[in-house]
Amino acid sequence: MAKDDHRDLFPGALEMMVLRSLKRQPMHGYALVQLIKRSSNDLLQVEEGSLYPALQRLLKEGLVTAGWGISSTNRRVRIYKLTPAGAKHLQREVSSFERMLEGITRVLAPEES
Amino acid sequence: MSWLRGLIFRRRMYGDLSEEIREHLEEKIEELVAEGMPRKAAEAAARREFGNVTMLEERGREVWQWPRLEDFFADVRYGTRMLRKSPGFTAVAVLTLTLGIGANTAIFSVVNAVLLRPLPYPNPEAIVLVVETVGKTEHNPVSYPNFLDWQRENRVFRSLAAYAESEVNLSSAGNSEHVPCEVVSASYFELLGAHAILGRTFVTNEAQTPGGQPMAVLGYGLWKRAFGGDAAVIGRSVQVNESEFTILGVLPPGFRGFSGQAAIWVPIQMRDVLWPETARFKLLQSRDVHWHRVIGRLKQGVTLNQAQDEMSAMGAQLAKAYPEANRDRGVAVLPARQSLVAGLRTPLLVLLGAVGCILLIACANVANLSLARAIARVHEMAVRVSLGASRARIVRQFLTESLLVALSGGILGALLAFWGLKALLLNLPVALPYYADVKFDFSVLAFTTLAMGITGLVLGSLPAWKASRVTPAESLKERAHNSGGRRQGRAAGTLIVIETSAVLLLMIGAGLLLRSFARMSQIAPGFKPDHLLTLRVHVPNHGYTSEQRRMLGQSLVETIEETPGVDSAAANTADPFVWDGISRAYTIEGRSSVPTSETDTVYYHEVSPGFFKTMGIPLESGRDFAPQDDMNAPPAIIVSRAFAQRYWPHQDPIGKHVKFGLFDSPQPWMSVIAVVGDYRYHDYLRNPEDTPVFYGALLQSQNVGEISLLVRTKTDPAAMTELLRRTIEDFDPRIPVYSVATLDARLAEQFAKGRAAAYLVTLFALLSLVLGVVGIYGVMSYAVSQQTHDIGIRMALGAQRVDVLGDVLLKGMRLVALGIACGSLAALVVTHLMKTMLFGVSDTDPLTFSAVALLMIVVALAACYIPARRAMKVDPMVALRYE
Repeated sequence: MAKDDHRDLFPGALEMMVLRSLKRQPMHGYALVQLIKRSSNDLLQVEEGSLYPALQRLLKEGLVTAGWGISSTNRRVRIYKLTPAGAKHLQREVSSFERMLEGITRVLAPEES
Repeated sequence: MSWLRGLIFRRRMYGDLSEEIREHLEEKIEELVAEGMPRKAAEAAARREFGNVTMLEERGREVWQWPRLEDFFADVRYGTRMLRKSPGFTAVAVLTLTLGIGANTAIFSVVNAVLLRPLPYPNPEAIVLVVETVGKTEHNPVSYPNFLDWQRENRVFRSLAAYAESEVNLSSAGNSEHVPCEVVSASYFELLGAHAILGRTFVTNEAQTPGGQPMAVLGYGLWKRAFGGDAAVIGRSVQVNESEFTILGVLPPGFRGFSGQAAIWVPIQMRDVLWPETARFKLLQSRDVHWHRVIGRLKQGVTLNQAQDEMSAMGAQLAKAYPEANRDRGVAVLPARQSLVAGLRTPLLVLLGAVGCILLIACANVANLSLARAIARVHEMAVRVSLGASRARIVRQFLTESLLVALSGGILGALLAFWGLKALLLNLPVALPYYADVKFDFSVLAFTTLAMGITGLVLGSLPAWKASRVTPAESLKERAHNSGGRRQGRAAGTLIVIETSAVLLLMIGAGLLLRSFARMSQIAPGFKPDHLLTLRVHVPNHGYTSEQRRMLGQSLVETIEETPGVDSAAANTADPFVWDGISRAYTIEGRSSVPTSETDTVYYHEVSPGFFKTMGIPLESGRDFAPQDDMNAPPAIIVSRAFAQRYWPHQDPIGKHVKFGLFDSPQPWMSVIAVVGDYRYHDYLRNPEDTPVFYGALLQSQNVGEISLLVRTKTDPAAMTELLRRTIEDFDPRIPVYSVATLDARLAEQFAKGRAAAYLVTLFALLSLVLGVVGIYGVMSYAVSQQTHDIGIRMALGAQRVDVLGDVLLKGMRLVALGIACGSLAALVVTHLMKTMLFGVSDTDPLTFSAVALLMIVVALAACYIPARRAMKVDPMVALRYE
C-alpha cells in the first residue's frame, strides 16, 4: 500500500460531503467521488473506495436512498438521492461543523497586537 | 419474519454493492483509457485509486451486519471447520477437557449439595446449634434445666428447642417395628418450619406436663408404610415401647427431623413413659445429666457472634449459680450445618482441590497442543493479517476456537459427571448428610459453565497472544519452523513446570492419604473381629419384672450358645462402634470426686460373664465376672488397662474400690476384680488409651434397656443372622432385634471414609499423572521436532549423539525439577489443610514427599527419553536438506 501524505478526514466528514453533494442533485458513486475531488481542488485526497462503506452507512440510517438507473454516459449505475431526513441531518451537521471550525479558527488566529 | 426479510434484503444489498463497485472501476478504467492510458495500466491505476477492493467491500457489508455477532458466527463456523480438519488434535483436546471438566462437575455437585445448598428449612441461615462446652470440646449435650433457663432468659433467639434422638418399638395391630424417633420440646416443629399435613403437631402445654400427654406425630414414610397412608389414623392409638400413644398428626414427606433419621416424634415430657428404666436418672430435672440436643432460631438481625456473646454470658452465669452441675461448662452457638457435615467438609474440599488440579493439568496439556498448532498456523495468520484482518480479530478467532473445544469438553464432561456421579455415589461407602440431594441444579450448571469459560480463555489466550504478534512480512518470507523456537520454548517450559507442580501436589496428597489408610488398616483393634456377629435387642418394659429384665441378657446368651454353629455368646449394654455406652460420674476411693471433664471421657459398660472371652480381649489379671456375681454378691467391676493406669499407675488395681456419683454419694463401693486389655470399641481411630472403660456386671445392673449380643460363630457370621433372629423370636416374639452386623463390617465402616478419600484422591492423582506425563512428552517431542535443524547442524559440526540425548534430557528435567520444587512447596502449605484426614502420618511426611518426587522424576525421565532418543537419531543430512 502506498504511503499518502494527505490527512485523514475526521469521522463524519466524508458523509457530510456526500450529503452536501447529493443535495445539489442525485448522482452515482463514481460521480460523487469526482465531484468531491474536483470541488476541493484536489486538496482532499479521498480514497475512492472508502466512499462505499460511507454510502452504505447513510443508506442504513435512511439519510439517502438508492436506485438503479442509467447515467449520462449511458452506464447502468446506482443513483443516490437525499431524503428529507438526510437534508435535515446535513443541516445539523453543517452548523455544528461551522461552530467547531469557528472555535478552532479563533484559537489558531494570531494574537492581536 | 422481519429478520428473514432482513436477510433477503441484505443479500440483495450485498449484490448491489459488488456490482456498484465493479461499475465504478469500469467507469474509471474507461475514462483513463479514453485519456490514452493502455488498458493494463489503467486497470492497475483504477485499483490503486480505489484502495483495497475486498476490504472496502467487506466494510460496506459490515454496515448491514451486527458486526460482533456475525464475526462471532463466522469465527464459530471457521473454528469448527479448522477443528474438523485436525481430528486428532480435536479428539485429544476434547477428551482431556471432558475428563477435567467432568471430574470437576461431579465433585462440585457433591460439594454443592453438602456444603452450599441451604438446609431444607425455611430461613435456614437463622438456625443454629446450641451446645455445652467442656474445656475445649464442643458438641456436648445439654442438660434440660439448663436448656429451660436459656429458653427463658435469652434475648437473641426467636425460639429454642430441645430434642433427643433414640429408637422406639412401635406396635400396632400385632406388628412390631423398631423405628428411629425423636423426643422433642413443643417449639421444635415451629422452629424447623414443619407443619403437619394431617392433624397437628404438639402445642406448648402438651409438651410440658411430664407423662401427661401420650401423643405421637408420625413421619410421612412411616405413615404410608405402617398405616397405608390412611387419613383416619388421626386419633388412633398405637403402642410405643408398649405404652398407648394417640396419633396426633402426620408430617410432610421429606421431613425426618433435625437428626435426619426420625420416623416418629413424641413430646419430650413423655420420655419416662417410653423409657421407664431411665426414669430414675431424672433426665428432665437433673442439671448434671447432659443429654439433650438444642437448636435455636435467631431473631431477625441477630448475628451468630451476638448470640454467642449472649450465651457465653448466660453460661458463665449458670456455672456460677450451679457450680456442681455446671463447673467448667460454657455454651457455644454453632452454625447448624457444622454439626451435620462433621467430617465431610475437609475431604470434600480436598477432592475439589484435586479435581481443580486435574483441570489445570488438562488445560496445560491442551494449551500446549494449541500453541503448537498456533505456530504451525503462523503462515495462515500472516496471510489473514496481510489481507486486512485486525489483530483483535485474530485473537478473537483463536479464543473462539478454544471456547469451542472447551464447550465440547464441557458438555461431554457434564454428561460424564452425570453418569459417573451415580456410579461414584453408589460405590462411596460414605453416607452424605440427610439433606444432601446430589443433583444438577443451577449452581452446578453455573459452575460448569464458569469452568468451561475459564478453560476456554486460558487455552485460547496463549496461542492468541502468539498469533497476534505475527508480522506478516517476515512470517510469509521464512517458514514457521525457525521463528517459533525460542518464545514457544519459554511458554511450553512454563507449562511443564505448572503441570509437574500440580501432578506432584496431587500425588503427595494421595500418598499421604494412602499411607494414612495403610496405617488405619494396620491398627490392631485389641479384639478378634473375625467370626463375630452383633445383634441389639430392646428389653420390653412390660411383662418382665426387674429381676427378669436383669436376667434377660444372660438367658438370651445361654439360649444362643445352644444354637448350632455358635461358639460362644455374650452381652454388653454398648453397641460396638455405634453407641459408646454411657459416661457416669464416679469416685475412686481415697480421692476427691473426679471432675466432669474427666468422667466424660470414660465409658461405662455392663457386660455378661464371658464377654471378654467371646470378644477375644485378654484378661490381664484377676478373674472374669461369673454367673454368681449377681445381686446377692458384693458389687464388682472390671477396669481396662487405661483405667488402671490412670488411677493406680504403680499399684495393683485388684481389690481397689470405685463408686458411682460424687464423693459423698450413697452408692456402694464396688471392688475391682480384674484388669482387661484396651481395645477399640468406640471410634476406631481414637487411641483406646485415651478412652478408659470400666465394666459392671449385667447381672448387677440397676436398669436394663437395650443390650447388644455378641456371638462368635464357627462359620461365616453373616450367614448366621437369620438363624439367630429366629432363635430370639422363639425366645420371646416381643423382643425386637435391630442393629445387626458382623464386627468385620463395622470395622470396615470405621475407615470407610478414610478409604474412600484415599482411593478417590489416588484415582485423581493417577489421572493427573497420566495427563502430566502425556503433557511433558508432548512438549518435549514438539521441542525436538522444532529443533531438528539445529540438532542437524550441531551433529554436522561434530556433536556426539550422546551429547544431544543428554541435552534434551537435561532441558526437560531442569523444568521438571523446577516443577517438583514448586509442587513440594505448594504441598507443604496445602497438606496442612488436610491434617484432619490424616492418621498416623505427619502432613509433611518426608517419606511420602521424597517417594513421590522420585516417582515423578522417573516418570518424567521416561517421558523425556523418547523424544530425546528421537533427537539423537536425527540424521544431519536429512535435517539440513529439510531446509
